[in-house]
Amino acid sequence: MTYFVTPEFHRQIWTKCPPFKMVAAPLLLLVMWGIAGGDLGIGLRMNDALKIGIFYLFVLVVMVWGSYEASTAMDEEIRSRTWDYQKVSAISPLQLVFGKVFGSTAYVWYVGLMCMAVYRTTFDVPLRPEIYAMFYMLAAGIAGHLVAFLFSMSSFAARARHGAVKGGGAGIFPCIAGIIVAFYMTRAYAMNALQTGIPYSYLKWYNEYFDGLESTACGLTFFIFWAAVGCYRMVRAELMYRMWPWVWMVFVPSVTIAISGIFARSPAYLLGEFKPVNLIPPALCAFSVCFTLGYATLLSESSDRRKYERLGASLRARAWGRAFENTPLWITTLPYVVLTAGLLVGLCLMSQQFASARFGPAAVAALLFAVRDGFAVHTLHNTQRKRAAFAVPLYFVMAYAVLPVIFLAASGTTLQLRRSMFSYLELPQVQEIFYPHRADEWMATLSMPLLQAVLACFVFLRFALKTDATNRNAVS
Amino acid sequence: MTIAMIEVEKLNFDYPDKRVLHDISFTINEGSVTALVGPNGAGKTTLLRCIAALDRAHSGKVTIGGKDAADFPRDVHHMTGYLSDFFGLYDGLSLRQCLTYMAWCQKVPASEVPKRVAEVAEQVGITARLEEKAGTLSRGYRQRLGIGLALIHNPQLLILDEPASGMDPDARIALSQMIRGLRAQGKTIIVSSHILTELEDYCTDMLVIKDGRVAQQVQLQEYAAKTVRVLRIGIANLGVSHMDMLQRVPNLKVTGTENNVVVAEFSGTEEEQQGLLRKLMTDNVPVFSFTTTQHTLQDAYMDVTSGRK
Repeated sequence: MTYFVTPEFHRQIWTKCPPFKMVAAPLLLLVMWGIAGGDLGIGLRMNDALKIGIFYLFVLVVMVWGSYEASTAMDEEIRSRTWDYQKVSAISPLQLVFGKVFGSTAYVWYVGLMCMAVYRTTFDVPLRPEIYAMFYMLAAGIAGHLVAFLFSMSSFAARARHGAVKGGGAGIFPCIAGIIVAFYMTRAYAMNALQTGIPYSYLKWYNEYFDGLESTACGLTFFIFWAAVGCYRMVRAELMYRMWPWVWMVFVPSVTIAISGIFARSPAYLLGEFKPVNLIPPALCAFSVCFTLGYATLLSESSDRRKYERLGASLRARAWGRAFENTPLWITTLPYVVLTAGLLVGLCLMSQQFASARFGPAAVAALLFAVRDGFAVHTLHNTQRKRAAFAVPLYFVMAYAVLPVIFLAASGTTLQLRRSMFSYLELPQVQEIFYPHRADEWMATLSMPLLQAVLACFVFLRFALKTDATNRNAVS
Repeated sequence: MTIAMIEVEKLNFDYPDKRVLHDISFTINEGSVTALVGPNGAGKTTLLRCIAALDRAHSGKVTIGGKDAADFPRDVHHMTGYLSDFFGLYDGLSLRQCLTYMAWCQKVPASEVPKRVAEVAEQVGITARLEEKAGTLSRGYRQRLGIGLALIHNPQLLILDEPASGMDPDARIALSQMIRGLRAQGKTIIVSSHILTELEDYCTDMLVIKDGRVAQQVQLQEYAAKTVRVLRIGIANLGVSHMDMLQRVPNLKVTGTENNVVVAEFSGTEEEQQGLLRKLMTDNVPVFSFTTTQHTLQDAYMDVTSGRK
């Protein structure tokens, strides 16, 4: 006796797809199909109503219900205390991810694909965009489910780090994240393709033109690939495999390269005058992507004291493999951040003729503010362990909202809202103190963030490390 | 020759705010049944989870069947059957489906799955209820199914965390019999429990954990042989002459009398004890009873936790 696809998928089929549910869905759709030829008498033919209804039924079932099912697949195991059985079994991470994501949504897809089939017969766009639109809808659903599962896994891992794994309850956030992703993709790509025939006429990527339909499909596939890899890695970690951060170190540059390509511009002649190539926008984009990923991992890993301790123990024991395994992701992201920042600064210094060269000091200032925040949150997590969940958000509110406003009020300056590529608050005289600031003057822009970073480093070394050593002695 | 199945060296485990296991080291031999005992919060469950490679220790080493649990966690998982203290079941599935699913997960060859399911069902006594839903089972039967799920891949090591909690007397007797049967098959078993009298039925060793440290590891047979036995000798018309005679017996220390019964600690061998009885008979001492009080697992535990030993 063998299983269908994977053991977990088969179990989910047993649980989610009882015979009466399997019969009910096609019967309901058949009824809808049967009355499709009628007239509602309000100027809307039943066929049109069905077309709209079936589309939104697909969206509701696959996007909303499916994201909910995917987000609770892991939570059910934790809540019903069956996760240890799976964890101690020989099932592979890939089998488990496939079973959980596609097994928990098996019934959803059963209904969704029937909706799609009905919709297909009532729609009359040219075949090529229609095929792509269908692919986009499928991809949107899969992406939403993967994101919901990924967020529920990461929520589970975060709770496990804090020693609270028995209760379950990842909350509604993973489900909402999945729905947002699925809705966005459906609306931005699938509906656009169905209504206009194309989502975008073309995509210019690293100075090359690509077909809009195909490049959108590639983009979605790229997203799904990395979401699936993320799910796989999360489950692999839960199954206690040794995890070296190689995949993350490939993910960061691949995403950076993919996104930066959109901002790459070619040399151009404008009104007969040669306009030199401006490499600052793609470099700025690359820096922004690396910086965002580094900053996000820095914040999320700052509370994982055990990982730092394991890293320290591995380094002391000269167990380099174990040390690499326990290296926080933000540290592995750091080389990319420094590299892209260096590239950006270099380009800004060499290309002063571009207005965007003013982003160079801002990028370095952002790095220094990140260093300050990194030291600050680590200090808070080490010194205020029980209150860190409150203290860390409070720090950010103080650092980025309350103190600037107080400073501003004290200086008697009024706020000016400036509209540009990004809307931002113009805070004359004080903005260099609190925010990364576009400017020509490097020293003026960097002096205050540098001072704050040094101060935060001093506080961390003076108090956090001392407290940490005291706590370790106490618990030992 | 004894082969180590579990070797734990200087194991430390931290929860975010406290260290729960401190430099734990011990060895458990293949084929033994070890009772893991200790007060609530001593770190028993955490230790079992580290042994089963379900949690990663802060430092130290756990080796199961020669495999380092940190380096080869999945190999350790495959060697291990684990029943957690608060385990759950797939309530919507039948018992057969539960066992089949776990057999698939444990990579039991497809052709052997039905046979293995039947074997395990027989072993844990749920054959008659295989088509019932897990959600309808009583506590005792849930426990049986839980153990069945842990046994489905015929693991070398079985870790049972509080397996008897909530069971009725019949189910507890069945559990004892089952563990004795598994012991006879040569499996290494660790059982965590608070019910020491039951552990006594089937355990060969005892590991006492207190405040996250190993307080003592006791080989129960050796413990029983090494420790003094309490003799209760009933003598009709007990008199001074009888007491004088008993005081002169080597390895016997009279600790008191209760009516006509002399209570004494005897530290000799079983043969010497037999010799004592024979001497009493040949000296025409009017003995009407001669009993030995066995040292129980509870005594051993109390010895360790009270610091008597």
